Amino acid sequence: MADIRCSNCQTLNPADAKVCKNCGRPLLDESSSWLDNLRGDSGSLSWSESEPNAKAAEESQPNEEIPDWLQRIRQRNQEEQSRPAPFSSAGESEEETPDWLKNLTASSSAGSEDTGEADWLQNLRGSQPSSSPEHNSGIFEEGLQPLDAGDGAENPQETPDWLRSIASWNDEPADQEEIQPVENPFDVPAEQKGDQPIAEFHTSGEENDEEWLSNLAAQSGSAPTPLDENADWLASFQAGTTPDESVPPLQHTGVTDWLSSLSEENESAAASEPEIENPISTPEEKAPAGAFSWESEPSSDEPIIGQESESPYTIPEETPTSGSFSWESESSSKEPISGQSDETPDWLRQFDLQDVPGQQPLQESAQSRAFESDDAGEKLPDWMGTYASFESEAPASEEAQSEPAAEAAEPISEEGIPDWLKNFTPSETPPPAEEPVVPISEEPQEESFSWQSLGIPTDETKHAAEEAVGAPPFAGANLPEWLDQSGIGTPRLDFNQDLIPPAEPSGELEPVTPFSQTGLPEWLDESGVSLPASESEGVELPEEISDQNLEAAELPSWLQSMRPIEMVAPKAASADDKRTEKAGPLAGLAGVLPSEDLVGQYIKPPLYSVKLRVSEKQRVHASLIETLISEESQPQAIPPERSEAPQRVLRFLVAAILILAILLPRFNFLPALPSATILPQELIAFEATLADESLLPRGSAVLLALEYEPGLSGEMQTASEGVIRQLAEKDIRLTIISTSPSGPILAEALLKKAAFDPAFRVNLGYLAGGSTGLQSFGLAPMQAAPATLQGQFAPWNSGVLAGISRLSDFSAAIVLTDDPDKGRNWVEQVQPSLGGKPLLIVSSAQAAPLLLPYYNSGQVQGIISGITGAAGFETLTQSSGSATLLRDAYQYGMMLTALLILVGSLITGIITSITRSKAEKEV
Amino acid sequence: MRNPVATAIAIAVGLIILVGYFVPLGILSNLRTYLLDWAIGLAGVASVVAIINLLLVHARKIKDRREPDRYSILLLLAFAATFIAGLVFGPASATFQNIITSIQVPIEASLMAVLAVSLTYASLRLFKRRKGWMAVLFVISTIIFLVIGSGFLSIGPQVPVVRDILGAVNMLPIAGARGILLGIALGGLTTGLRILMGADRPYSG
Repeated sequence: MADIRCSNCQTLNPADAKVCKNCGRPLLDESSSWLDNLRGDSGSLSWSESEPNAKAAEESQPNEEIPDWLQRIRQRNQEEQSRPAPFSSAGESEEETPDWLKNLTASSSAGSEDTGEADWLQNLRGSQPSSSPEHNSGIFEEGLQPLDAGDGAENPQETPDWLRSIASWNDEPADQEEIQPVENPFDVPAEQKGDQPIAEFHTSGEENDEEWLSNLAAQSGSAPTPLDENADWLASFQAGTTPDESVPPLQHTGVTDWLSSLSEENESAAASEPEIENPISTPEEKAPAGAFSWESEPSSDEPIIGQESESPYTIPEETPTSGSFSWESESSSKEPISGQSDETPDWLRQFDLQDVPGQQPLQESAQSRAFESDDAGEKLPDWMGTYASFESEAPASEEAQSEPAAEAAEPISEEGIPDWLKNFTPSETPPPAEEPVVPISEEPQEESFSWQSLGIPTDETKHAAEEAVGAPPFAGANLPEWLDQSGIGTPRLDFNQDLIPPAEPSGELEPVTPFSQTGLPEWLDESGVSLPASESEGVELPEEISDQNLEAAELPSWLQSMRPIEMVAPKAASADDKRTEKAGPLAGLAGVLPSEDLVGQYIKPPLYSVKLRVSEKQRVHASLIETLISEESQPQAIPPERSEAPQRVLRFLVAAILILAILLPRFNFLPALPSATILPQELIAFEATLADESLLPRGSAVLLALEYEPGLSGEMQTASEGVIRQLAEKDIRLTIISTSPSGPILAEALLKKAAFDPAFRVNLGYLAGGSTGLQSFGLAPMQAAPATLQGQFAPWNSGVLAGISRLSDFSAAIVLTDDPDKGRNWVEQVQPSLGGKPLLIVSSAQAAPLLLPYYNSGQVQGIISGITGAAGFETLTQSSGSATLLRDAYQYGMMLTALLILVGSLITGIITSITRSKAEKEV
Repeated sequence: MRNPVATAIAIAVGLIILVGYFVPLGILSNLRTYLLDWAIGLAGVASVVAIINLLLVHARKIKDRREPDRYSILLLLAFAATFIAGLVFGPASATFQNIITSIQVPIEASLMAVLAVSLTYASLRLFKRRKGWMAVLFVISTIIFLVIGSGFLSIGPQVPVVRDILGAVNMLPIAGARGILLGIALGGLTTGLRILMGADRPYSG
């Protein structure tokens, strides 16, 4: 055998264990034990594979997708139909099994499918005195609160005797584990049933239930009410469990008739029975107004189960299958179970069935279906009898499912109304008409809350009400009248409007949500959520109010232009959007991109013009550039080279002219120019100094410095020759010195040209050091120039240098230079050493201007500048020399040069201007 | 690194010479004389070194394979001949002097004449390239001074206006010359002072 799961702590215990090793609760219930006997070995296997109660209870389509275990169970049940009743075979339970139950087991040929027993029945059977009523209460805590007896221990009086009797069936100890109240009141855990899956009970055992119920009914004389095939009335409670308040109060239906009958019978037999897990028990305080009254059950001929098809607890009019319990078979009597009158639980009596619509039918049916107790003397509880009436009324109830449950319940005497049931006030809200019957399927429903499961009509349910005519969810369920929510005019519990999902929004602009297309329950369906609508509605109000104070905004033009076109002119659905795809994986969908067509189509690619768009301005620029480029590529005419012949002729001509101008006057071919009458003063002073006998007496010594280069020796010799002759005429003793290496040589040539007597000159040669040498010579001439050009010692203080030891001993110093710097050096270095003796300079024409300042400063006493100065000197001394001869040539040459420059400039300017004008004209 | 001894010697010698120029002391005069004699001797040696360097450069040019200068051979030959002739004949010899005067004087004179023509031609080309008021002024001044320098205006009767004009015109270059001379003098003075202060050390590098 498989392990047994503790109903309390859900701990797996060995099969042999009787007490949970974890919590210590008894593992096996009495019901599970007799059910195990019913089921045999197969039950152990199937029980171990029990599915969650919620899934099993929600089976609405028992024949669809029957699990394997269920199938096996059914098969066994079929096999066991031929065997004696499990109750009779079960030795242990036989003693405790009431007679009525025994009859049930005997009558059930196929043996009840243990799996098909309703959970409620299971709970009834398996409930022990010690069992906590919480289990039973948990089933109905949300849906059938009035029936929930709550803690049986708290209200022992309320524990129905029939339940206690059921509890006494089992020899199991009374320490039955406390079953935890499940969230789904009808979600009877497996441990409650002794590992009996509810699904099996509901699906495969429905027929068995019907059978034994019918048997019960037959015994009690009442037509058993056929159980719902699915016996999912409990499941409906599981699925639709909500807090007490959310669940409408129990609708007074005909189901409660039998309960009322039970209550009457058992009123006297109210005893402190242990708490029995009564799925029907509801706490007194939670009993909603308008709940049915057990008391009225016996007298009520209303069917147990309302004739409304929407009621999940309606017993379908189904032929009880083999193996299923049938109330009819047991008893056709509508009398309540008299034997159970004493066992009518108080809590059942307290139900007020007056306000429960449909109660009459239930009561009537209960009366008609009340089954009598069996031979054992134990009378079936009234409720059992009423169950028989349930079956009989099931077909009628099926037909009447579509009928609104507007039947008002018969008033129930207040005597049997429990206090907690009195507190229930019938809801003013009309009972939901045509509640859609949600078939309970074997398969677990979506794990979501559905108003439908509670029997609360919604828009959808209303629409589905008509569709659910043939498939009452709880048709096969052995739902008592008081459990039958169908036809309940008033909700059992106060509706909490907040929990009611709002109506589907009329949808022009239904928000497209990702979950709108899926089969989500209403409460999860976002499309049905009115929250945004409510929010919008809530926001609109302030906006509406505020709009009054605000001016309508005006969109600026630039913003208006940015508005999407769809906002202004909504684009109508184009033909493409309406096109339905016919092939491919998207076949049948509309508005998809065409796939097949595109593949088969060939579109010629568009031709784009390569023509460039050019504006007028660009065209002009392009033409200009083209012109420039074309000009570059065109060969340009090379201008003819100007011949150089005219230039060469001109050059020769100019040269010839210059040569003639110089030669012709030399040879007196040109008339002599008159001598200059205006002579410079430095020339006159030079002549005067030289002629002054006091400054330069006869036979005095004069220092002659030759500081010019051979290149200008022609001019210098011409300019100095007259001065040397003049000195020679005075028998002046010359001392020659030079700071240039070629000076002494040039001095000798000059003196030779001037025919100066060599006896009256001494050449001291080259004086090195430049200005330093001059300074040294000025300080100590004898040490600066110790030797002569011949290499001999200089005859200082003798001969020509007699009486000369210093420069101041010289009468004068004459410097012949073409370089103004050398003249400056002599002026700066030697002149201070002369001791007031005159310093005369014979310079070239280019150096004279730079030496004149020294004349003007008095440092120099006379300057002869160039050929003209020499010519003037000769004029002044009235001598003739080469200067006079060269002066004409010089002047002609100078004048011709000036003339040529002037003429040439003028001609060049004229030609340039003419050429430029021609070029400008050509351009 | 500059030589501080050379700088010290240069400064000392310069100060002695300068002070001795202004202070006529016998010892300073004698010291100044000796220093100047040493300077003269160094200058002479420097001339010899220069001549030797010249010979070596031309000799290197002759030996250069890329651009051999054949005229350097003439130079060396001429130098040699002249040197030998001077050694043989002496510098006072009329022959040597005739050789010198017959070769050196015409060559340099010719170069001077070519220089004059070249300068004239260059000035004309410049005038053609850069035509402007400065060019025109240069041409005009050239013409005037050519005329004045030729003495053409000084011939004839003495006209007072002409004399004054010639006198004024002659004074123009003199003014320029004065400015140049003053600049030279001041420059020389500054250079001397810098050497005396050690700012410039042309001798040490």
